[in-house]
Amino acid sequence: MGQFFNNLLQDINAFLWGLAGYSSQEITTLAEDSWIGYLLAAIIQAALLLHVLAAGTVLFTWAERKVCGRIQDRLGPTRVGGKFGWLQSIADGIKLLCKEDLIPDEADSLLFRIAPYLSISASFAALIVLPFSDGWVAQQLNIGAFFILAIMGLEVFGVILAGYASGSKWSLYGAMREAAQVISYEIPLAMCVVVPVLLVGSMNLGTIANYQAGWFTNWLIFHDPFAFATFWIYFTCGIASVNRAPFDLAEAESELVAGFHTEYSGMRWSLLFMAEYGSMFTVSGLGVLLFLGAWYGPLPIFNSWTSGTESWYLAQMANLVGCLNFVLKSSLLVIVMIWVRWTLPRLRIDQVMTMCLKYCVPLSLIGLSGVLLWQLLAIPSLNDLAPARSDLTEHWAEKSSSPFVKDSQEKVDLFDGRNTQ
Amino acid sequence: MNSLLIASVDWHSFFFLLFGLLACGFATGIILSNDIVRMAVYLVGTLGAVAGLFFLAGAHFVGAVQLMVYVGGTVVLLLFGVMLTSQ
Repeated sequence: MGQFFNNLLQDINAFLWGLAGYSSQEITTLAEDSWIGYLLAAIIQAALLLHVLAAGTVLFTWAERKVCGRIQDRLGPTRVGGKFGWLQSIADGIKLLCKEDLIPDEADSLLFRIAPYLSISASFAALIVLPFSDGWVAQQLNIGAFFILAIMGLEVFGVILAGYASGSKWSLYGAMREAAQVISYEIPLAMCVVVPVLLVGSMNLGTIANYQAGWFTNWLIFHDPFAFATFWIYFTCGIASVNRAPFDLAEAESELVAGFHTEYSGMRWSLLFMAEYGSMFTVSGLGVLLFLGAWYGPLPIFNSWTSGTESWYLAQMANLVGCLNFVLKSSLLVIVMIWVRWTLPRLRIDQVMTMCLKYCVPLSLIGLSGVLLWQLLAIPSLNDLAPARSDLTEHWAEKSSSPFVKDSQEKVDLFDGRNTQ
Repeated sequence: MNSLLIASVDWHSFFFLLFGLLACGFATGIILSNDIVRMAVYLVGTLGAVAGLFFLAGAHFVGAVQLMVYVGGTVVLLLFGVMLTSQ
């Protein structure tokens, strides 16, 4: 037992040192190849990401009410929690927790209960590969952009299941519309994601982000006019793929009561909504990573700190500022989504499909060809005005060999090594 | 409590067994179920667990393709067809 606690303390110690950025040679025990270090790292990362989802939902619901109120020339919530009503979401959360959990007789009760969990898990899984700052990512995948697209395709599954399992015609209509809409909008969305991937030559979100280090002219949205247009097509398709107004045909409360979540109440309903707000943040975050300079601010104030060689504290401070930058930019895009929702009227389903197949798909293809031609003909781009320091752009590869972000092949070897001991 | 025993928790094997059992369990569910929509849902479980196995093996691209093509595309279309036909 004493030996066990000794090992435990050693492992925690090693884990903390690993967090502090020390390499594996400097400490006696490896952080991640010990079982407890691995477990702790996984739990901490999962808990942090879960809080992004939960706290994000609380803040964005409040923002939605305030923005909606202002747009409709009223104040929005003002009473709960003082002047700005900032505790309104918490009050709503408590109300939802206390509500009766209803499952209709007509419903397929197993699928009815599974659907919200499917939605929220998909929304959560997309955050795993979303880097919040240089190296601040739960799992660095070389195919991060592709992974997020694949996961976003899964989210619709929960919505369709919710609509089908409710056993109500309104829900089923909502689910069918959602299926048609999301399957169509995946195509232009993926086309737009391809543009920065081709410009940088990597699907690794960290590499794409570091490519945009330096001044704001280095952001890929300013690469050329086609890239600029592509970002807005991406954003439009993103709004459609997360099922927000003016594309919220799946809920369409004026015709379908509440669409796919008509029969849901209490926590199950709020899980569906948490998934929606989570994916709004993911879509915005992906847009920021791909086009809007990721965690780099418009001016290269903190960039000299991030090279990581001078001081660990300075590098972490720069990472913290970068994280704030990223969250701020993503939240701004979410606010734009809210603004669009309360400004534009809802489209009809045929208009939604026309919009996708006749406008978004051809426009995204034109954008893709335009950007490629721009590269091919070597037309001067804004990106060349103030090139980023090369040590910043090559920095990510070095980062990925830190004790916390490992190549998974290496991880397998570590585990095998463990077995033989 | 033997510290060696605890120290030998092998997450790679653990997750391999977990995903393997999930895939087999859901596959059995497909065979035993009578409801075609539930079968489709179990199929999503099986294919998702196989994607998990791919990720565990370090084949991230294959895993993501598995998620996108099989889980995301085929099964959504399957549900689409099922709902428009019999039920």
